[in-house]
Amino acid sequence: MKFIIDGVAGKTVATGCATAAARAGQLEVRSSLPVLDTPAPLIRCRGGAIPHLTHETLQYLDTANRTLLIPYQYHSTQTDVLKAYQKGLGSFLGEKDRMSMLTVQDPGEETKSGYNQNKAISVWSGCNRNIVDVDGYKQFVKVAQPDIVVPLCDGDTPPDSTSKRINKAAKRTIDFLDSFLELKDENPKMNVVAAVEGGLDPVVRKLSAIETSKRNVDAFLLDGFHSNGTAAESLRWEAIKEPFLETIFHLPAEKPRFFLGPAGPRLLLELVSAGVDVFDTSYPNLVTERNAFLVFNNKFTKDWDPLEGADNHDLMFEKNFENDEMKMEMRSLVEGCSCYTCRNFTVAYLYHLVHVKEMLAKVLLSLHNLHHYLTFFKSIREAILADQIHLLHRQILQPL
Amino acid sequence: RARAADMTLPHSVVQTPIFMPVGTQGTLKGIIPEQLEALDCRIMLANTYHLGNRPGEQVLKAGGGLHKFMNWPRSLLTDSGGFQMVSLSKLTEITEEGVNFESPYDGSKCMLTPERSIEIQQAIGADIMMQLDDVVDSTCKDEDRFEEARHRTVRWLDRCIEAHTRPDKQNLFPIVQGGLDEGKRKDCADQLTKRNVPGFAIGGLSGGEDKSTFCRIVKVSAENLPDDKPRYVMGVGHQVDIIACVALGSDMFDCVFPTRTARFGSALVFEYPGELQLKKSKFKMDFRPIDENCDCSTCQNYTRAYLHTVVTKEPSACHLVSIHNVAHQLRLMKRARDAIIEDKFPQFVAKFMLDLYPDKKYPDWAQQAFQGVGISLEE
Repeated sequence: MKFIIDGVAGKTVATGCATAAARAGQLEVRSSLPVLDTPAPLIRCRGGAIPHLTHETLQYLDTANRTLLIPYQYHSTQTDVLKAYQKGLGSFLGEKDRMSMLTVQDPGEETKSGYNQNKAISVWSGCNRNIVDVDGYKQFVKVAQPDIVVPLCDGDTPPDSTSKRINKAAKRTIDFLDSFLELKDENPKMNVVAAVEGGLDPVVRKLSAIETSKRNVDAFLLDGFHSNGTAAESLRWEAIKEPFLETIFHLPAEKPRFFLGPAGPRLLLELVSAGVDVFDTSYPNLVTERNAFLVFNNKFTKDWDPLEGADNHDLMFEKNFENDEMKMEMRSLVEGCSCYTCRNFTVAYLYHLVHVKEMLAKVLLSLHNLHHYLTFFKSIREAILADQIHLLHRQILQPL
Repeated sequence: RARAADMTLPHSVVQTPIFMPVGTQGTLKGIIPEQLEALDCRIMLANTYHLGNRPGEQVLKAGGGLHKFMNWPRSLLTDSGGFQMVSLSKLTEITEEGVNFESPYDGSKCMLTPERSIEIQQAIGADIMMQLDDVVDSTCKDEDRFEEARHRTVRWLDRCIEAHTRPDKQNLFPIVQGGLDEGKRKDCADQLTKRNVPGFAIGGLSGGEDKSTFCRIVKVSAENLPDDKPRYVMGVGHQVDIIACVALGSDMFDCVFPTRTARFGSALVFEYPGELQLKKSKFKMDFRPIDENCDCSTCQNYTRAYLHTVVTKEPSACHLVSIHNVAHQLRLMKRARDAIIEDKFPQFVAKFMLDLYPDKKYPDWAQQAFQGVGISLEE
């Protein structure tokens, strides 16, 4: 994995704070594929598919050189199938020309707490639980052949966790990492994104970061700050700031940082400003699941004068179809949006689809929401390169 | 008796014989219209009954008609709304005026008249629309009811024609009724033929009647309709049924079967047994596409083994199998059409049936139907 930083926001301070700044970069994973501009979102999969989309309909979205995020939890019983298939998990899912990253738990689905064991992690698929140890996980990775992989880790540290739980999670994760890295010895080209744990305990966080940094890994996943799914949408920066920054301060600046979980515009900007490079699309997926569409201002206006702003802190970032006036509205979901849905369909049609519970509703909403979110990432990158990321925090609060 | 033709409609040219997928509520389950264009689908169905309720006539008019509303640039066909009323409503009372029924949504009393049906269908704007007919379930035992129904159907046709103000933009098809009595069918067909209409539908079948009766009635109805106009057998269906009807002289078909069965993870194929139940464990390690000769995007990118892991679990699995099933039906029709044009239809039918029944234990009704038009299957 090659990571080149094009630009860093803010003044460079000659202390540990230097690594807690927004960066715009380029990530090269497979030399045969174009680089990924960061900050960037991975395309999160659920149950072996991008929610509501297929290989064909994915083309309606601009997802050139975007990497898939595939949660192991849905594939834990497929080791034998993939072994016979031989072409890897990405190809199995119909996306052989895309890069894929394997993670343990799905950031878009709540992970049940309290089911991990001393040497094994519990993963759920529907109502079925599977228990996997490092060896089982390594066997899977060998046949899944992901371009990027998160080693088996224990991120089960909800806010009310005991100190014992937090320490266990952190230590176990390092042990898993060391065992897992034996695979990297055999395959030096394997890209490892090591999970850094520690719940909300800044001391454990610092230790985890330092220990993990000593290992031969390519990137870091800031894990264990939430339990995934809709509940994680209400995660507030203020609640995790201290342990989060403690982690960042003790990670090498030149390696990419990953954060997986539903990050709405506010949290996303805070995480970017703290120095995270790669995210995922679970947030727009969850918006789609509640039949809503993103409407927040995702454009970056360079040299915007903050004094002209009319910040609305109650501004809704999304809208739904509960307003019956939408029944006859023949305009697009968001004026000026260039996504496939907004170019070809009206609010009235989507209203109809949602109210008669047709599957196409979520297909079209997915296309819009993913496009909206992906566009926001482009704006973020532009803002960082213009060293105006601080303006973006306020621009998202402006009416469209 | 099989024919191939080009049917020019306001929104597209349709090559018959043709299968029309059904997009009941102004959408084909989870499929974006452009995907259907990619399959070279030229015409699809929408249901007047459903659309008349939701989103309703007003919204459709404001939206510029259904084509624009759902972003489907090719042809549409709407039914009259009559069939759903009878099948979905708990209380229907048919009078000379129209069909009195209870809305399943809010229990209110509604009346669908021939005039009203035409009004709604005009708001929808489909290239082909159906008359409101007096449809009786084919398993009904009351002969008088069938007699009454077919006469009323003719009277309602005249009212529909009278109410239709856009014959240049929308084609109104009458529907041949008459139950399972050949005489009644012939007479009904004769009556309808006297009117100046662009095509005909054969209705009142695909209920509970047995297949040999079904074929007999389709044959009689088709025989008594003019050769130079399309014949549409409503509600057909399964592969063998379609090919039998083509052999008997029909041109257009519609059925929810391909898209409905996709939802349950069932993929259509040409070889025995005609359907793959992808949920079955035998597909767990089957790394072939559904059909190696199919060029739909599902077969180009996915294996049976993959589909086995996602059908009935992920919504996108339904889309994938639906796309394939529609592609399959369209390919079936194209093969039939090409065979007819090359004057090799009997050979096509023989091979088609052999692929589906390699043990040559063909269903009797099909064998008889084909024999009746001079097509013999391989023994």
